[in-house]
Amino acid sequence: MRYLILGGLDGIITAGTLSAYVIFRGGALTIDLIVSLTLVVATINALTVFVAEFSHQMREVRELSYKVALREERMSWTLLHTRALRDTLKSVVSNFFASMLGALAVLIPAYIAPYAFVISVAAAVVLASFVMSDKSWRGFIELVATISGAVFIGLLIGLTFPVIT
Amino acid sequence: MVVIVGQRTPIRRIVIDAAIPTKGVTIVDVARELYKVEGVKAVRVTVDDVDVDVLGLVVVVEGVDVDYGEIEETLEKVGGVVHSIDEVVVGEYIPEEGSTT
Repeated sequence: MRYLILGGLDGIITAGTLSAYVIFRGGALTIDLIVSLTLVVATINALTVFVAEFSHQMREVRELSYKVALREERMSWTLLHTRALRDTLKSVVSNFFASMLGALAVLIPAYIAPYAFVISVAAAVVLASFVMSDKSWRGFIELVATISGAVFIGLLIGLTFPVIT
Repeated sequence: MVVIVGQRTPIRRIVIDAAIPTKGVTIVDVARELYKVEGVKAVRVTVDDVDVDVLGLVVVVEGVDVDYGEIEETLEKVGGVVHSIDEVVVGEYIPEEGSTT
């Protein structure tokens, strides 16, 4: 679940940042550009998750190995490594598709109408905050503020340093 | 009984004190993997000790010609380790346990 939410938010922020200049300056987003941006954003996010999650899982396996054997990890590949890799790949796939959805939540509405993406992004922020807040109002408000701040900064950076013009 | 020199004596039963991590692998995995070893007819895995991250196990393996090296290798492949061999039975049948009292 964590990587689904993070992937969705990553997709929204990254796609929003990269396309902010085009969207706010009234430029047109083409289908080709939307497909390219979505795939690039999802792939980058998934690769980042792979590196972070796999190194974290391998560190855990090393620690467990040391506790069991009271010596440095053996070099051979064990069932623990296989399961760590499988868990990592699950996270990567979840993150990839969540990032795609996040990116599409910005790009498709922006393709239909220049400022329509604001509604879908706001809905995504509220949904993500609700899921992560664990039914705590305080947590929900904190998350809405934090994620909205991150989206706002992303858009600001995208406008200041345009990538696609 | 005729013992041929150089031929491996068949292990019928072996009792191993082993340990596995509490996370990522279960005693079901251990038992299933050990059962795949050639010559193994039955496996019993019992939890003997529970620590924060480590489970101490008593592993009983019975078969017709159990290869101990392969048993140890299999335990290591599931992320475990052999602490000691606590009992071994070699031969054509399993004798009764002995007692000195």
